[in-house]
Amino acid sequence: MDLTSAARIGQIHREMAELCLALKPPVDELSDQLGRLSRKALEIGVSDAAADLDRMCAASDRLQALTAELIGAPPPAAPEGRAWLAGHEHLRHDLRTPLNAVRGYGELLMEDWQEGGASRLMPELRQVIATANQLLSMIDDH
Amino acid sequence: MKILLVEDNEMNRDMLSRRLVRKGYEIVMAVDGGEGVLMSVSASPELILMDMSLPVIDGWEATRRIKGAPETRHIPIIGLTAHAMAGDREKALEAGCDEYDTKPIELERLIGKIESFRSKTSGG
Repeated sequence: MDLTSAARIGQIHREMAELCLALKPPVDELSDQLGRLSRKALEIGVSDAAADLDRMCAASDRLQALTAELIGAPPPAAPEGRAWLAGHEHLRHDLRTPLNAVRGYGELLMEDWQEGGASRLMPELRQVIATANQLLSMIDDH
Repeated sequence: MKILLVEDNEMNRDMLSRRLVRKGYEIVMAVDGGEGVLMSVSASPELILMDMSLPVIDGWEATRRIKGAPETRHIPIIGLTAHAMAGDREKALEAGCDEYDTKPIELERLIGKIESFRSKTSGG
């Protein structure tokens, strides 16, 4: 591996760690918001959304785990550097995938909850979608 | 309108198919490029939504095979990719896609593209 690649790997590694550090507060907030939404849905008896809410929570958990992993990961050692460089292209995609799931299922529920008792969940659901959108923008802009 | 959705990601498949069914479309699904090619014949779809990053046979190759077969080449294909990267659109169109869109899906935009093919195929 030449010096240019090593410098490039170091730079990209730092950028990803910085991005994940910036993402952490809204990622944690998203997890809290989803927790509140799920509890309220349970309280008011919106049981048909349980599977979709579980998927959204699972996606949020994956995102939390991934950002924590990227914040804590040491820079790749020289022998693995080249493979890491090739793989880092997918990191942003890996960060976006759970967010797209949260947003997509959120929008599905939005359509479901326009009417009836579940409409009381709309403020919490809107918050969840807004946070997911904020995180997607941060990933795209960083 | 019968649409074949070729998508390997279970959540994406579930979300998109449910939203399209609500809008009145009939959806059949394939989970990889190979199954997509087979179902383009067996399911007789009127349009295909093709994720390009697929296992077994990727979306570009599946599109080339569907567009290369006389019995399926008339079926419009909208290619879908997760990365809005420069060159993706051209790559999809080169493989034979008639249209292209990026994920995450904006439903109204995608439906606009789907409907443009309905008016073309119905002659309206």
